[in-house]
Amino acid sequence: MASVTREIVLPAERDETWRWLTDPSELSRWLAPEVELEPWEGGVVETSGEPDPRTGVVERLDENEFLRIRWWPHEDEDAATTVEFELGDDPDGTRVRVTESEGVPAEAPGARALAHA
Amino acid sequence: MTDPGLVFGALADDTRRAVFMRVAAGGQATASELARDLPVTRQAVAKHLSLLAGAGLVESERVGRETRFHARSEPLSDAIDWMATVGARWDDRLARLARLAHS
Repeated sequence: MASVTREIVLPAERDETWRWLTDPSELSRWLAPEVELEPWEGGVVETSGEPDPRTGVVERLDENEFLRIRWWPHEDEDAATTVEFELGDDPDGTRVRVTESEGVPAEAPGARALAHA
Repeated sequence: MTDPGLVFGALADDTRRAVFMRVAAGGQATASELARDLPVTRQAVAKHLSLLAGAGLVESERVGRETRFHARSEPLSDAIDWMATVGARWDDRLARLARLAHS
């Protein structure tokens, strides 16, 4: 499974950082020009106003800790990717680690078993 | 485009990577030639070649009674392009998030 990871430290408390990651009006300020996100597991995610608009679903949400969404370009669910946001403590604030992976995450049911390839 | 995960997955195995490198280095090879050069059986080489072919990293060609394998670089550059494109998007997004956090 191919993935990319980025890490950033924000000068903010966990709860404020969490709001930036889950409140649609905050997300619309940085993730994409227009973002819809229902902040619960199974909630709908929708981005628009950029060259790569996406539809998706919130797969896992642990408040102030972890968020995983699965999203795909409109009408092309086969091209779905998974995005994980992991929050951590840092002397300068809150660390956010973002990982976007293509394919099915290892722990997901029905994951393609590349290990057996 | 070949699934980038399939490409990296195909190359994650040491022996399979050695098979791919050997095909790429020589431009082409048969399973028998590879089995002679590498410490694996011809059957094992054939299995590795079939997985590499599934990821688009080699393609086969019948020449008389032989099957010759050629290396293809496109799936590798596609996979690297995917990582560069997705990574660049996150660089932009996180730069905007950092500005928001510092404002």
